[in-house]
Amino acid sequence: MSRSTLLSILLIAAAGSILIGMMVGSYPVSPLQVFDSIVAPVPGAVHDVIWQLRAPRVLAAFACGGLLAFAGALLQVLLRNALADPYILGVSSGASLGALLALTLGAGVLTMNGAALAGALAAIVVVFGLGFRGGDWNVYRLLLTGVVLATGLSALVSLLLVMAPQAQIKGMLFWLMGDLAYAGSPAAAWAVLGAVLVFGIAQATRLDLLALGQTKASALGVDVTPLQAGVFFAAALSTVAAVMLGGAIGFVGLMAPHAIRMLGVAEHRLLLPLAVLLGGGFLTFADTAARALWAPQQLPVGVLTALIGVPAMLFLLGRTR
Amino acid sequence: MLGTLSCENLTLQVAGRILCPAITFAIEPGQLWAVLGSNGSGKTTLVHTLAGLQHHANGAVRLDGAALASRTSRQRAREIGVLLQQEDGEFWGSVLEYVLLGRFAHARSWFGWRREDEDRAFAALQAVELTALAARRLVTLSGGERQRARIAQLLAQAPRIFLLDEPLQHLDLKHQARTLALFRDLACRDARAVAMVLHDALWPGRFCTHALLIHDDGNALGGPGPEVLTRGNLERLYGCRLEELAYEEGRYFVPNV
Repeated sequence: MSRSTLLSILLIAAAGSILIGMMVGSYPVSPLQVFDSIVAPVPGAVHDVIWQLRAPRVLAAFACGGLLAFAGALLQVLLRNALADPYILGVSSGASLGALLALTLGAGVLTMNGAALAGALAAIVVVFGLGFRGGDWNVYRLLLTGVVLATGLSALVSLLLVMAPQAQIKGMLFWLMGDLAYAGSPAAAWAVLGAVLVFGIAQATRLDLLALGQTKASALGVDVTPLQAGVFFAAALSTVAAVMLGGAIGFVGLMAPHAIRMLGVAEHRLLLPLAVLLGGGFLTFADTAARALWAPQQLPVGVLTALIGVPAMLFLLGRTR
Repeated sequence: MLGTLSCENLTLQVAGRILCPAITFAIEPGQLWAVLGSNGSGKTTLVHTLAGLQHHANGAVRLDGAALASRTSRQRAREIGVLLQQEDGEFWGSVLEYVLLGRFAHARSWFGWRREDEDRAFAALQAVELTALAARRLVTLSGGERQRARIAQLLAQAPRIFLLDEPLQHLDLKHQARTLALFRDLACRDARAVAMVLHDALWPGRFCTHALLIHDDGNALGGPGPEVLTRGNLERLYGCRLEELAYEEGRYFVPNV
């Protein structure tokens, strides 16, 4: 498949996932009505459904999926580990612990979000501080620091979960399973997505070189340590923005970059935007399915990303030589 | 002379062990140096240090008289190219994309490679006879083909100083000879400075103008090939008996087993 074909297919699929997300729900909307309310908005029920209910949710899903795919792609290069996903450095565990602590102490939604943000940032600072300590650092120490910290934080999260009163457990599960039902405004996430994507494309060739190994990248003219620090923070920021919207949604960040590589695109100049389109479109589609399949009951989207994604990835794996 | 890499009283250290105390030598344009030594004698460490990839040494490495450390990585990569003994990363793309990465230090655009970069990459692929495999994924290549792809990447980088760590590994006999001829031409015809770590006592005598012998006790002996590559020196270097072969005007050595 040529690159322009792949790009066109992913663009159409991403736009399609957004359109379908706007249409599907307990109040069905036709494609024409979606189009009308974008081009010539008329106040009314349809307008409210689209702009106050569906659009924020759909845009949140897309930004979340795009950010996760981007963070996954960066971390797979930074840690030179195919199994790296956005949560591997403990960002989501930090956020979960912060949010659950706030919830246990009876805080409101705003405080809880603040606590989640604080938890995620604290995890980033600790991992960076320990992993990048001294001039001579290596990716294994960074990886292990992140994994060890994430494990410790998860243990604390489990402890909170066991001790929490029954009534709070459902709200807590939001953070642990990944769910976009409580997503706030996606504006900040879109701003982060735009910024990190510009960073990623500007550094694309350096990322290609970094994938060859630190020594090789340096031999070919890359200032490795500043690049690694920049990549770390771009990935961490993306993960924080995604986790604040939807909790720890699995699978997208790990698999979207691999799917693009299996389709034959390895250069980051193209890999990053394609992975963002795939991750965003895929999560939007999965989230629409999560709220429509078993309506009015909503399924956690993290379950669906895996249920839909696993067969798709197995198919791709079988096709790749 | 421009394009000279020199070191003064360079002392290498690996994991607290001192290798080669106080080496002083210079690689000048037109010279092709063979770096010989037994396993673990510090050849790779020397290559990394000369290339500015490692900073655990005492003493100075100078490029055209100025400290190597004063240049940015990009400036350095335009002057010095290294063929590493091993690459620990992964590359998912094609052979051509891999070779093009050698152009990074010269690249000017955010949006892909310029025509000149592509021309140089193709010329480099031609020089190592990999043109037919340009579109193949790098991981599908054999060990020897991959080694040639790495040489092509280095040629595309077009530095003035080439540091090669075991350039002949994985290569068949024909490509060993072609690779050495390629670098000899770069040194003698295009006035590049070349230094290569070799594990063979035959090739240096035929192709190299100079040799640096690194002994296990840390002492190093460097100078013009005919003066340094003597039977006595090589026997002391490798700690084994050698047989001398005479061919045309040269003298060559093979182990006596």
